[in-house]
Amino acid sequence: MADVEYCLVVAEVAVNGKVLEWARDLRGLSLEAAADLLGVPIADLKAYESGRKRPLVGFLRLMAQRYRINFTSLLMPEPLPSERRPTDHRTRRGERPLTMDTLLAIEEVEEALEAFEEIAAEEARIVPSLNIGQAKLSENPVTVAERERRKFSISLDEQYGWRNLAEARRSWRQRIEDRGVFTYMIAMPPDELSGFSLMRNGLAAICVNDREPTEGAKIFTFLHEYCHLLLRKTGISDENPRNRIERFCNQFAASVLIPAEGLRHQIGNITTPHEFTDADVRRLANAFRVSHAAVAMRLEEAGLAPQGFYRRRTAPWEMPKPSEPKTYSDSQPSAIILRLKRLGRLHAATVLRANKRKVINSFDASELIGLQPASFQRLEARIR
Amino acid sequence: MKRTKRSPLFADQEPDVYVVDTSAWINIDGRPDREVAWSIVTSLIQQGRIVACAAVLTELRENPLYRQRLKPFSEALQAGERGVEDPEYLRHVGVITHKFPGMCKARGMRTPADPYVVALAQLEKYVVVVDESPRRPNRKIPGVCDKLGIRWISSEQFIKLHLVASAT
Repeated sequence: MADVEYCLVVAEVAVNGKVLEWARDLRGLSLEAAADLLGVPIADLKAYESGRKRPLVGFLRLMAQRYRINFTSLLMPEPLPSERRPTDHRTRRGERPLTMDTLLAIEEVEEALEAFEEIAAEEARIVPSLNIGQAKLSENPVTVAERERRKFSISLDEQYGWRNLAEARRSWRQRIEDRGVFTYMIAMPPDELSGFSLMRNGLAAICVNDREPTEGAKIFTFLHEYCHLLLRKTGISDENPRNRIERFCNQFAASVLIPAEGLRHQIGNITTPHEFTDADVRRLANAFRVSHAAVAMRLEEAGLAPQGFYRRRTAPWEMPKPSEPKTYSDSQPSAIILRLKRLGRLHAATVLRANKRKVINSFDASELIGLQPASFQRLEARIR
Repeated sequence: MKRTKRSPLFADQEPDVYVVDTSAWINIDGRPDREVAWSIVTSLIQQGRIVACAAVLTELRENPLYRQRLKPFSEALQAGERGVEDPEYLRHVGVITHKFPGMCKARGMRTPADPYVVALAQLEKYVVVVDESPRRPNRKIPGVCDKLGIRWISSEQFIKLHLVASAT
């Protein structure tokens, strides 16, 4: 009995309850949600956070694991000052707070940019320089889109030739990365945001919600976020046209994806508002390899469909969908393909280059890529 | 297994004890003369002059060098570390994390070994063996060591030093 008591005494650790509260806030967890996550009564968690009760080391480790936060941060004598979160442009569902999955995705991309900043500080040439233009809200988004599309050098023939939406998404993503923008696809709650963009010290990143309903929606978000970078107004998006910046970025994305010349070619001599049918929208979406929503928006913005056309088309898609049971095929994509999809080729190639040039060691490279060093060769072959 | 404290009277005459960071272990194993380097390292481990934190060994666990080189010595390597639940050690690790949140990735998802290495070196007056850039003083171990008055050397200097010592 004495031994047991001794063990409990030594395993207890003096922590500042405010730090535990800070960690919970950092991950966007309410007391109730955190207590549920930790499997303890709310009263216990309150007692830890108020300093009335000391946690055991094991409990702190569990907390670090469930909050997905560095364990040593929970041992800090004081909380860190809160950092400014990216600007929240969302209006679609009110002031809904960001959930832990989204905050972690933002953290992941911020950490990556920080790592690239450190690599650039050691050897600037390893990290590709950002090569995007700039736009102003006072400009016409269609004009900005025409200008930027020319820079992407994607011809209509090339676009029509993509076999499917997945190929279109890969091609657009590649063109964005060619401009020195890191791109990520991370699963976040689908009804929370479409994506976000970040910019710091000459580095830029776009992250698309990988739980967006269709490949077409993801393509749209890549371009939408690219416009946030052009405007130098980065942040979290839900593509709601009620927000001025979001609307500008939507118009930009739709116009890049469906250029005026191509639209004229596809719809023939329609020049006044026309009530396009579902089949028309589907045909156009299929031709340009874009989402139906992008087509509806483009037609309305170009004055070719009546006002409210886009809203009517997209309203049914905004209804929350019942979650479908997951189906698993026999052949799952390899870990390398999954990591490349999540991190983008530019991220992976930059990390591998930094490792080759010994700016970072294989351990750091493995942390940044999420694969063991033994996989680096296969990853490199895949990128080429 | 805790190392006995050094007598302050003879402190200056005692040989240095090294705490080796993940980066240095990887670089030692990547040297062209790795077998020579490992024979020096093995001898120092056996003398109780090299320590590796549990956190460093955890970071290396998936790396082949852990199985091939370090696992046989894991007990000896950790003999000089304070227990992972030692309250004073943990408190110190917390202080280092708070002072240098950039190095410790305090808002991040994973727990790097860096604050454990620095805290151990400071508490036990060990020398840190690390292969990180001394630039970016608040973000990398060498810069943090300089700020805290902890001695550090690179794995290259470390191997050179002990090659010379073993030759003389």
